[in-house]
Amino acid sequence: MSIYILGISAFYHDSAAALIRDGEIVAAAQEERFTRRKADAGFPSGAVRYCLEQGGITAGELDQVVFYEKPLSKFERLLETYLAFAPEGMESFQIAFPLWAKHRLQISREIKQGLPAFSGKPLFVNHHESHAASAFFPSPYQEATILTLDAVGEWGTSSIGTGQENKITLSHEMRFPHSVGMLYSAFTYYTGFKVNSGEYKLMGLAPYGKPKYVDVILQNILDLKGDGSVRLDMKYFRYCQGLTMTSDKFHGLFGGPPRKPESVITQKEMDLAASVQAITEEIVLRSARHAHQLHGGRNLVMAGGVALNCVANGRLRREGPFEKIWVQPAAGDAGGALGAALLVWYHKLENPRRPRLPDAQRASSLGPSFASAEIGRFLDGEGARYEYFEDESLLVDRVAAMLAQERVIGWFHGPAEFGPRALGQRSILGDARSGTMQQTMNAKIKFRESFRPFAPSVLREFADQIFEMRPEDDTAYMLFVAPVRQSLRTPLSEEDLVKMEDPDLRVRVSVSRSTLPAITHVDYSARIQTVDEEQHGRYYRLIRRFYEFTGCPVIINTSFNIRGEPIVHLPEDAYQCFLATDMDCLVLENYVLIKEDQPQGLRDAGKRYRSSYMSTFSLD
Amino acid sequence: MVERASWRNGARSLLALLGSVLALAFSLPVLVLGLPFWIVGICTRGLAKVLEPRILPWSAMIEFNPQIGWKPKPNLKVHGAGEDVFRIVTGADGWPGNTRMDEADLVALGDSFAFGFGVSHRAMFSELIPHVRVKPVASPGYNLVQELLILRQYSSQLSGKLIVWFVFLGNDLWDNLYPYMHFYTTPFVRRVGERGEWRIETGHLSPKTRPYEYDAKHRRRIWERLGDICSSSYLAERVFSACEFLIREAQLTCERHGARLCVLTIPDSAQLSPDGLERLRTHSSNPNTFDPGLPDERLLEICSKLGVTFVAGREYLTRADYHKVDRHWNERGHQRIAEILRNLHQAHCPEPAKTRPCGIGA
Amino acid sequence: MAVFILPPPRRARLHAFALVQSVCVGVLVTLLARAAGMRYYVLPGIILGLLMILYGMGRPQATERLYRLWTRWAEYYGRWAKGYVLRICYNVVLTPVASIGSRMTGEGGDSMWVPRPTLSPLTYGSQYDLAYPGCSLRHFVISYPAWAYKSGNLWALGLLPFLLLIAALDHEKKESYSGHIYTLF
Repeated sequence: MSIYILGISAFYHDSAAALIRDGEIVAAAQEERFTRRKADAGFPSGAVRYCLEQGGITAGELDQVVFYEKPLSKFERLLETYLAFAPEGMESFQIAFPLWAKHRLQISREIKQGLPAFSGKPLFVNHHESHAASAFFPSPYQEATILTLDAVGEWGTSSIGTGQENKITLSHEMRFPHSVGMLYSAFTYYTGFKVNSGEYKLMGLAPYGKPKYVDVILQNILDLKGDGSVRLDMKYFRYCQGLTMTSDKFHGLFGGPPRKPESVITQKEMDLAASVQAITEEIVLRSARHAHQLHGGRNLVMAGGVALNCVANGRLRREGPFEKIWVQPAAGDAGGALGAALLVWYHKLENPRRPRLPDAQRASSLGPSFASAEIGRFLDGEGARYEYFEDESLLVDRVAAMLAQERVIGWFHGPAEFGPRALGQRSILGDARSGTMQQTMNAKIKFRESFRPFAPSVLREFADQIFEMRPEDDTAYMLFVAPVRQSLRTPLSEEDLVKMEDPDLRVRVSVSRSTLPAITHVDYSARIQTVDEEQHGRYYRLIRRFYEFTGCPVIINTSFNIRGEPIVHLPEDAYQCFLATDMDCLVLENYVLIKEDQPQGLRDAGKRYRSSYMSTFSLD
Repeated sequence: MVERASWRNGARSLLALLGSVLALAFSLPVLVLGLPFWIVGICTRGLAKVLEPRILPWSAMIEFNPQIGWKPKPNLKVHGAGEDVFRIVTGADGWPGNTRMDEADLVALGDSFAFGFGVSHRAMFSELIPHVRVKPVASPGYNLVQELLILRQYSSQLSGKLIVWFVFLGNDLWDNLYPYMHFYTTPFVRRVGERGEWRIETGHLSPKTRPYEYDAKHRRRIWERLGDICSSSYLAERVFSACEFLIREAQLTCERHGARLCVLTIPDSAQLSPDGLERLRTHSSNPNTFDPGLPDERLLEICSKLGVTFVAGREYLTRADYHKVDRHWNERGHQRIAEILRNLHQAHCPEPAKTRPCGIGA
Repeated sequence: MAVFILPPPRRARLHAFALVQSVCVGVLVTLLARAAGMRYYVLPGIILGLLMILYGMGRPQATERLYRLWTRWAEYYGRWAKGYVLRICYNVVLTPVASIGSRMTGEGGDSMWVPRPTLSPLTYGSQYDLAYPGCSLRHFVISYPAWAYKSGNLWALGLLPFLLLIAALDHEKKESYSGHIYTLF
């Protein structure tokens, strides 16, 4: 008889559910995809319903339900924080205390309300142990050193440990309020981006600046130890006692208040981004070295929100002491749901573990998929015009040809990804060779102004020829950054050099600096996804055909969404996005829709969706 | 957990205890001030629980049907909740009320409006027409495709009856094109072949509810849909083309079996108020062509072409006939509908039903 | 939802409200009459109460207006009372305890990495890092004192009445807070 364990993360940000059956991942999904509310923190009822349906069970048949952290330990930390700062802290207390009184201290009741048919008692595991489990158990390693880095769980902000066979053992941790995640979020806030979601923008802004504030930060705000641990001077921060991240002292140190969101980004913000990025990379590197000193080994696994910093990961891979690194694709709190379930399976139920190659995450294709017939019914209901391709090779030919013509393609295929990155199941694709694609896609598809290039998907067998990485390095989850090879870089003209000084970053990023301008950042870096046939099937074959047409094994892969909305979930979401934007083509499984072939009435309806998107979703 | 000297623990506990007692003392006046709210709130909630009958959610009132998707359960005597609680009674066949098909003079075919959603069964239109036995054959959520399939199922029992087909303009017209409603699969029509002929699809019907609402966004776009249907638009062309197909099929069924078909359109409450009309107009993809009477005009054309009697409900109903928040009729609205049906029955069956059946040529 | 806030009006709720108001007013008037030294002090209360019942049941629209007004006042009260109780709790309970100091340490040295154990699966039934009797009980009113005792946070028992009060007073449906701060709580 199979054993079903449901892991849940909820009530902070990034709610998710993950179901495992006899230790195998059956399904996992983030709630925001279902509710269409970015970073939805509510109970993940949509994700749970999907997981149960995928498992073919009801809630009553679940053997265990496990929550990804210990609420009372977190409450203890919260109280101690107020005690440390009282009488300051009233503002924060007035918001936090009612939330705890009504919800957080009654997680068992919340779970029972969300799963009324489940008759057992929910379990609770430690936050960083959830992260550690999500990093180690799906990895391909029999043993590995574990490093988890995030803002904070209960008390821990980072942890070090080891994984061996079916056990994880955490040996050390850093404790709140000293946190690399909070440090990064503080600078995210100060540079005018949204906390909890804008951190990757800060990472993308860094290459524009110079790390001239590193010394200022290290001498004032942060004491960076040799082993990568950090001690923050809390006088510069307000996250313990207030409702913003930074204090007036912080503002005074950097010469002014935080940048207002959506206002002009100045050189100061770029330099700050570069500085905090450099420091973060150093923290990650030193922590990894310290972990290696403690536990040795050739393999490293990582999770926690900071593990999504792919620039730091790239540097770790190049300069760190480990030969191999595996990062949980859903490294944030959503992955905690998966880790919690796996922790119960291996630790509580003491089951054996057999690592899989390339890993047990199944290309992170763990979300809902839709049958062709279902999609056909939907499209007929809309009155859309489409071509249906029974033969995949003809479909791939058609789409690859359009890509080569610099058309923008919405690609909706297979199970949805679990984690923040689009990996070829819910992606918008374009030609990376195009000099104008970056501006086109941002303005006309994403409805945003962006200083960041897009990310590439590259055929695995060519990855080391295009980017500075070793042939054996795999980055199937877009979690590592590497530079474009020197041979592909193009020299900058005088005009280009002038453009590189333009205060408008969009002008700077538009400068073509390699034969793949759309995915090359100003420092020649790219956030890479390697694609192979075994893990990616049709997506691989598409890129392969594109390569056969053009000689280029790289395409743009950006997430299938607009502005600040979550990545598309239903075919209906993808269809609306297609109509609302200047996307040229939509591929829904075996159905291909061309924009200019659609009836005028549908295209008119698309204009309405566009204004609805603009008013509903703000920039994240 | 961090180690801590026990004297600090003790000191904390003492301070917390004293502070707690003091704080409760300070809080007492505030709580006393709120006593009336507490007393009234608790007593009202408690008493209301006693006075109000147990409400069954809609999902518990229906069961899967392989031909039409779902059907209300038979022999229900339960309460539902709309703007208020209302009684629901279904007969042995699952349809509202206890009139049998064979004894009915008039069949009211439709969705939640024909089901009497929002009012107790005694206040329903079907109970308000003396000397005319009305058989509602309806369920909340039905589209016209489902209603046509039900009509076909009863074809052998239609002889001599007046079939009044309630067509709710709010969503009935485009629901016919959609294979899903919330978590359920429903029959729908789709265009097939080179000539784009309409075909009814039921192959996808399943007793398994879907894990997520396929059409949540679609439902939220109700203003846009209705706005488009009241305008010259791609959607309007499709829905009226599908309607023509469905009404033609229904008419053929009725003709073959000696029944008379009448289409009665039910306006959405938004079409009956100036604010609602303005909102619909702004949501239309072609506001310049917006005309709230357009759906009735188009359906009148279709019915005239097919020789089907047509009544535009918009000419008889006002906003006051609907609930304030819920979009269904209130008791006054049901009375109005009863009058319409009585007049229809008189017009098509001038002699008492037992002496002369009403039907084609009556 | 806080029980002192009335739910959206429906017939049964309006009737219940009318009845409850009538009884409350009747009792109040009786007490006042008694305090005023009236001989048949019960009568005014009964008469007024009955009249109110008849009016309330017979005029549902008027009852509904009063119902909605009452709900609005209750919401104002709830908001104000919640803010007041929170301030009292923070200033009178937490702030004095803070004078003893906090467990947030990390004074320095060569490393901020501190040793930590991996939790035993025996603790998975508990919402804390330890397993203890009562830890897996569903209602926090019972499990909270057990946690406070076992975890060395006995002082936190002083917050329990306020947790219950705030849970009762807070009628907002918010489950989380998102603003210019990381979701720490």
